Amino acid sequence: MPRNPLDGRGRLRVRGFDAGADDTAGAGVDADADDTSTATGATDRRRRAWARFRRDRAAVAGLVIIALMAALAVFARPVEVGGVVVQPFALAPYDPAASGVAPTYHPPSLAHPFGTDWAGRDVFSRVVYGGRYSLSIGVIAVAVALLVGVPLGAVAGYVGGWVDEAVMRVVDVLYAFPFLVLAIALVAVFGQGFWRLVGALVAVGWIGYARLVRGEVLSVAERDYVLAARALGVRDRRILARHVVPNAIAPVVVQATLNVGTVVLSAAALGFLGLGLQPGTAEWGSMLSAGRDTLVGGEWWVTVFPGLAIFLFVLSINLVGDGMRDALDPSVDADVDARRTREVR
Amino acid sequence: MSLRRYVLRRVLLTVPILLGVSVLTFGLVKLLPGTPVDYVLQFQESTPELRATLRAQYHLDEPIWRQYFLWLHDVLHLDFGERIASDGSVSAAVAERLPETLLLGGVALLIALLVGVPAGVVAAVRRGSLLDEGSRVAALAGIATPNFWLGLLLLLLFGVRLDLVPVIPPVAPPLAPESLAFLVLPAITLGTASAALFTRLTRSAVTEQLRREYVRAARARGLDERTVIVKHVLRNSLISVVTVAALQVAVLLDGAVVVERVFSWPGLGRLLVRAILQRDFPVVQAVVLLVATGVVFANLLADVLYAWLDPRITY
Amino acid sequence: MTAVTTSRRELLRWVGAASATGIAGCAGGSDDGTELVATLAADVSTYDPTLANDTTSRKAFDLIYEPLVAVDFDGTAHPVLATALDRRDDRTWRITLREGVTFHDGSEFTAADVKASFERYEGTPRESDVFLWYDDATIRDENTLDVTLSAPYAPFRLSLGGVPIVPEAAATAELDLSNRPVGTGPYAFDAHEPDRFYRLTRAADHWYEGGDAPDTPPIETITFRIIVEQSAQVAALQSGDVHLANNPPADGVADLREDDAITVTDRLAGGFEMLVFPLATPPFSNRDVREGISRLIPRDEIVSSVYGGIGRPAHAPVSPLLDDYTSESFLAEMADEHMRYDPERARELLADGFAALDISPPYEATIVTNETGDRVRWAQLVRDELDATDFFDVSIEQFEWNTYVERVLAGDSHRSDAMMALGWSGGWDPDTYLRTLFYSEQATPACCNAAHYANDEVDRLLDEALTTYDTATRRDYYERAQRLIVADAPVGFVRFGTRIEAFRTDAVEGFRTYPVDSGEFTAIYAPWAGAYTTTGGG
Repeated sequence: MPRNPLDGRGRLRVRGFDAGADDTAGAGVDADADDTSTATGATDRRRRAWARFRRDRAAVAGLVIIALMAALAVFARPVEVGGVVVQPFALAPYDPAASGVAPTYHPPSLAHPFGTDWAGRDVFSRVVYGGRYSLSIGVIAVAVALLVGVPLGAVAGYVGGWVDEAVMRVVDVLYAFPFLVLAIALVAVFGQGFWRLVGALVAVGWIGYARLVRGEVLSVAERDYVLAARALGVRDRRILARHVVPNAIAPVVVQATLNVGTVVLSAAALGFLGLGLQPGTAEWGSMLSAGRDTLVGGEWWVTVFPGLAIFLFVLSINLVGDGMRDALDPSVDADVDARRTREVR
Repeated sequence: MSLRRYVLRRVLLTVPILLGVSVLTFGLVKLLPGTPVDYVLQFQESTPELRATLRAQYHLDEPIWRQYFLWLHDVLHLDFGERIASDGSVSAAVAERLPETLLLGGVALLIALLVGVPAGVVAAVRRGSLLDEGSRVAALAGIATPNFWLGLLLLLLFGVRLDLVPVIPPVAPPLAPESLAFLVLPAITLGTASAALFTRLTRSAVTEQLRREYVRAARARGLDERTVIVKHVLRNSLISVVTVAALQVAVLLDGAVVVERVFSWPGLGRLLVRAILQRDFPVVQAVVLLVATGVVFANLLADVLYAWLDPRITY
Repeated sequence: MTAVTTSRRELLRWVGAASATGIAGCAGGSDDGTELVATLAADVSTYDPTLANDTTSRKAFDLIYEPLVAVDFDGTAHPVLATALDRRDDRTWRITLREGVTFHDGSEFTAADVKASFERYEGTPRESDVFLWYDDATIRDENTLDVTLSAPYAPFRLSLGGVPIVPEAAATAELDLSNRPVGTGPYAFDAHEPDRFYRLTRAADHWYEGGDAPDTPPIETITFRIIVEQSAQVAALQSGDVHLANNPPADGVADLREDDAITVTDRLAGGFEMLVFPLATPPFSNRDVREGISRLIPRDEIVSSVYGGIGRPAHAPVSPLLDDYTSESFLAEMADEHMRYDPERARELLADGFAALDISPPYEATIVTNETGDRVRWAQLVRDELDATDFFDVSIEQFEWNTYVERVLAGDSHRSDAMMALGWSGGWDPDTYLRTLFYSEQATPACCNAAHYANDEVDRLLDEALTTYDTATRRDYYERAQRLIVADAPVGFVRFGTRIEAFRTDAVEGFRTYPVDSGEFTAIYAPWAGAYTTTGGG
């Protein structure tokens, strides 16, 4: 294949890039523009992306489901902040922790649409309330991992040299480490509970973002406008913050969205091994794990409903993530990104 | 730099990486509350003398760095030591279970490829159709099910209700028909997430290839669609699929821990979890090192393959 | 040694596999004879009695080794390898050994083997099995042995039941029990595929003859499948892949009972679940508070919700299984005076206690537990009761086993603000339920008195009871000790344990539940107790 050193816009072809991507250039920043038009370009891009997203039926369905689940979770039981009742509604008819509201192991009925569990607790209330845990674990674990991974990856990619080497070697070591060993060890050391679980998930999760951002930054950093800004003496920090990172962020956002689902599943797996949240917590994964002996027995409702909840949640979030990916970068198809940055988990 | 230098550099880098992994593992397990002596004595009456004897046996009173170097020294002489919570040598314990996990993982990967790749090709060729969207949702559904739950459901359905397969591994040589029949369910459970991944990956790789000049050229030359796809497109797409398959090693181990438990499969995953919980340091170190080596070399292989096969990439 | 282990196991693996292809999944399908497929919940970790601290290993070699005396299903000691036990004086017992017994490797059983079996316990994790009472042994001749105790020891006969006899060669480097167990029992070791199965076959020359039970064990092969996941165990039983499952999870029992193809037996056992209080930390340092909490434990609800109605509440440590040492009236007395569920009385007591200590409720506390399903559940029910009173705000901390053991057995366990949910199992003698838990010198980390309970009178009573041979006197001592302990309430007793077995009705006949840990499979062939199992139809 003959290699044309220049791309369609007369710029030098950047290493490691797929031929298709550069042709459209809609994927990247409009290099010839200066600061202000970058801003307008960004808004335009966002609007176009949203339009593309809307056209993806499955992705929109996913978004609707997530929104519904979030609403259910928030309005499940009243929320009190410092003594003040911030949210008074209670969609869940019973207190998720109240035992003995009905006979134990009662099959689904009008009063208890999802039946009751071993302690006579209403499964429907628990499933609805349980959304809070899954959502919060997912969002918080991913957010904190981003806060750690993105800056590290950006600095590593931008600065290069031994900083890059050091960060990447740490990433390699952690990458080779089986996640479960790390999670079990962390939970065993620090005990079980919400924040410990989040900690374990963050300790493993930041690696992917660091790698991804580093890869993006490496490619963006070579672009003309960045070189120009450097030549003009603009401070590195500013370049990073205003030019490099915002353009590297798209695949990271997509990955983060997808990882919310992964985090929820990992939390469920840890619950299965007995390392989850406090016993009796109305978290979907814990409910699945605690009730798994009933599958053989025939009290199917104890696990089927939390299982469906996890399934629906993760499926929807994945549809949204996929839709975002297609919307933000329609020319560069989904997993070319992944190939490029070796981040395919 | 040239490919050869790149490969050499990467291979040399595996040593510090593996060393780093072993240090991290050792440190983590030592951080865990409790010692193997606690496990061994449990709720037994014990004299201080007995406790001291056992502690000395496991080198627990030496400084941590010295314990680590004692271990490292033995490992470099290929002696992985004796198990603490059970009788027997660590290497025997690992050697007995490694083939089981490899078998499970291998079959899972095979199923994932056999299901995922054709599905991805079909989805790409019929891009935008209901079949495409359907396969995408199915792929995502595969990922969205917690694997232990899927495993239990499959076990109950096919093992108990329908009684098509035994619920526990049959007592037979690994390659006997009944063993392989049993292996299907755990392999499906383990491979589902990877199958979904391969579907999406193949779909995007094939889609991208289909847009290329040479496809149009081939079609113009009069070649029928099937030849175009199988002989040219697929071969080029498989580059990315193969490299990603190598990366799945790490993911499969995490899944194997859960699947081995549900299906009573005597593999490394169970050994590892039990060893951590029993604070059986020699076993944990050995298994983690083995797995990490596998992952590191799989990554290396993937990167090298990718670099070699894709002429556009230079380093 | 390592190489031998691997190659021997390899050989056995292929031999076992080759002969097993015909047996897989079906009872008695091979032409060799009958097979029983049972389950173990964990892998067998060792074949050596001095090293086996996990019940799984002990269960597994229970049929391979035999003790001098064995205890039957009702707590009576029967002669096995010893034909007579004579108490010469307070500290000396003369043991007459059975003649004509051979080990599985062909060597003769003599007094030297017994002495070696005792003495090799020194310096091993199970040291206290023997050295709690053993001082020395004198061999008088091939079949007679005099054992000297370090102090008079009432449970001597029963304790002998817990010491398997191994060949003398095991005490030297000649025979490595870790490689292959060699005993005198009715079954010999056949194969062990780690994490897969553990198999025994009928031994050639077992000594038993001419009694209630058949001379040779009716079942030829016993295969223990290793199934960690409890729901898989129940599923395997339902689908017929195993014949006998022990301790199915409470969730599964009700459904198994409804299944006609499966029989479920349960038997009151010797252990109990309890909630241990950290005595050094207020408010647990106050007796009224402790009794108040004990009176809030919803025992009946726990038995019905958590254990499916099986078992009975516990208000004292010694289980009704030991009917020589306790009685229904005694247990009722303990319940009425100190422990029975009574939320009103509990609130009064808590109010008094908190006032006396000048603590204002609610007090934040935790209950520490491990991951055992039942324990986690009863802890939740207790938490709910405590939280409902406004005196406490309780959360539950669940740890995996080793971390949990380390916390419970830590030297400062009595100073944390965590109550500990603990399960205790003992043997046939009341001492096993009292001394290591309530004797002052057994305070952690020496052993298991996590509350650091110290009462001189209790110590004295326990010492006296241990060194007195008369049962009636001992019973009196133990009742007095229990009265003191229950009144002081260093722990809140929850429920007496039960042993549950489930087996396929058409494949297993004659099986009985043994109420003490690690004796699960005794009924497969225990001719000295008149018990044996056959495989029924298949």
